[in-house]
Amino acid sequence: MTVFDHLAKTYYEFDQHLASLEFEAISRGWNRKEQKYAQFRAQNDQAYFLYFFTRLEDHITNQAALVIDRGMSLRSWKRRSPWRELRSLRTSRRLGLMSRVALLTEPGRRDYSTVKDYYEDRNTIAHGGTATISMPTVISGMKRLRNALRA
Amino acid sequence: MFFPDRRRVEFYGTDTPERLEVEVTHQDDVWIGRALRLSKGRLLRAPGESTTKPLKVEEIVLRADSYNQLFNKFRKFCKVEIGEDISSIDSDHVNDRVQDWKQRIDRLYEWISNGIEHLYEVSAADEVQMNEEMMQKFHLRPTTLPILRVSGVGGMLLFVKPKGLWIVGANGRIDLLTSASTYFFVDVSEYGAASNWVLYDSKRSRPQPFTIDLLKGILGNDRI
Repeated sequence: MTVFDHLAKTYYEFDQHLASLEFEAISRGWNRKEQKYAQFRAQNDQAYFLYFFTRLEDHITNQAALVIDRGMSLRSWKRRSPWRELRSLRTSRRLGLMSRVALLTEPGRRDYSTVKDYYEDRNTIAHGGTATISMPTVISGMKRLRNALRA
Repeated sequence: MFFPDRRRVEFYGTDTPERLEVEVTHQDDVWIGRALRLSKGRLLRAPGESTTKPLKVEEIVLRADSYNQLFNKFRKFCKVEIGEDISSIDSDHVNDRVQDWKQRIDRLYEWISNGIEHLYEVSAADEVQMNEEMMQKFHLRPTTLPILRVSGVGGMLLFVKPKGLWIVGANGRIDLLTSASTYFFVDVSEYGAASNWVLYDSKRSRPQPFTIDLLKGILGNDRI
């Protein structure tokens, strides 16, 4: 079981609990409670989206570091040389997330764009904004990215 | 300058996968660019028009006195009009999206009702307010969306409740709530294309195409 599977399991369990409260509120006509539980679910979605994103970020950092290590192990000095610049940035924050993604997939391709979209949404939420999230599609998207973005 | 009678030019979105293929021809000192294909995203507005609406790619034809002028016209057009960059969105566009969302919900509800109304009581008596961030940003008034109530003998069975249009990961989400389970309707279509509803549940990582038989199965399993 991957970390994403584990997170998905806990997400669905919490969401189901809140959804059953929302269901009860709608069926009894308790409008304020319905709004309250709908809001709880939306906040839970955002929290788990951030949680998932941190794990994806960690995966990208590790895989990009492997790409740099591989470049540094090339025998030819000419081919190894460009990687020297990146070696010091392997795990440094000065190498931005999208630059790391660009070591794993071509900018402009589907996987690159998906990470970029998620990254923008992550920044929106992290800096005080809100976003409505379709967690099932995000979860399957994150799992796909984890498999696709490899050194 | 040498220039063949006909050639293809590609324009790329800035740091995005959108790509517009244009066929350029040169006739009687006029340079004509005819859009052929858009790889992703959609065209929102015809050049020079103020209203935003989904546009067919082949409707884009630009003319200029020189190749450079034509190239710059297309480059400017691509920069502003392709994709859903925030700079190309206005209140008309947001309103169009809201109306489209309402129509998609109505069509989905009608389809569900037609499929199960001989077995269950189906009504849209409840409502939920829609006042998403994009609507607030462009000063659109909040609106209401219907909640579909499906009930049968023995008590309440199921609610279908719209959750959001501008959402991360899809073109709209509607929740299907029962007392025991939650399902997620997700429209995976692009804006302007026909709806493509799929259904997710917590037990499967892959979505299932939504069918009336699937809904009947859910209602059967969750009968009180």
